[in-house]
Amino acid sequence: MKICIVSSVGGHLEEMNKLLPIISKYDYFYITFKGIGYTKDLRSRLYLVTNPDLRNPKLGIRAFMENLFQILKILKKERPDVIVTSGAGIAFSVCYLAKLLYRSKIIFVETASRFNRPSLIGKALYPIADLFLVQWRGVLKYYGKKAVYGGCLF
Amino acid sequence: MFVLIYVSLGTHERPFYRLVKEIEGLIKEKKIKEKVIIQLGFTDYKVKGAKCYKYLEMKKYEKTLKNTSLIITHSGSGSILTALKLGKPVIAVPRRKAFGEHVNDHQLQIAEEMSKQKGVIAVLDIKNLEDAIKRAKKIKIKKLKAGKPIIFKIIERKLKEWDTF
Repeated sequence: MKICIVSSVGGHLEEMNKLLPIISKYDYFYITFKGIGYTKDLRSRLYLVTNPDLRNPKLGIRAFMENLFQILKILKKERPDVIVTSGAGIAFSVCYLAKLLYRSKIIFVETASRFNRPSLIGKALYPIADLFLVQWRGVLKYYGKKAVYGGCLF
Repeated sequence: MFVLIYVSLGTHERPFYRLVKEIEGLIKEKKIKEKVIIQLGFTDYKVKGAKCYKYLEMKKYEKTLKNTSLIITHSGSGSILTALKLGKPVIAVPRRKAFGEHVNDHQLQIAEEMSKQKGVIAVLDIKNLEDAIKRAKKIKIKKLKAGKPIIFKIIERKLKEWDTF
């Protein structure tokens, strides 16, 4: 079974790394942006993609298209069975494309920084998530029945 | 008595000059006399009077945290929770959207929420950092004991279930 960890850099990536003891039992790879804090600590295949910066539509279009093509190429090559992510925006294309094209399972973890307000990416991925976890109880009420409280990764 | 102060700017791709400049000022005015180690991340700024690193390797990071008396950090959940688990007082300075330090103000919410916890001091106006350091010296905190959350077991079980298909 092959797992894809998709994450933006920073806190999201740190959260994903907390799951490595479990994920590393399988074949896994990363899709993330160029950043720091991973090159030596990550032990698997690493794909660096263009940051689509979905919040900035003006310069975003070109970056968004570039990002889309990069992701399609990676997914075609790897065909992951499972995608694990806590966001942010980078996970949107990866999860929807993987689900549509390869019927990948999606595990979404609401980030630890959301105590009582849901994240945009959480709302966007909820419909296609096969496992949807939150780290703080305060956000449960914003999501439907699928959402499960799991406690904090840190 | 504080010996070492560790400052963390995280790995977010935007710089956080506001915090490092204030610390540099306090070191210069001798309001901070302790040894200071700063993890700069994407903040391109050499702080005079402090030992600066872009990023700390795991072993060095753990050693530094173990020896530090106080943690001053951008207000990321991970950074704050790590400090609490080690029983270190922590000053959380939220990155603000208005200053171009982050994409939104979720760090402000984190700081407000987590400062309800004993041992966490939120600094919203950077001019209050000096006072926050004084207050941190008076705090006595115990290590935050968190049992292993079920999230790990839930994910582990789900992956096992899918793997057998």
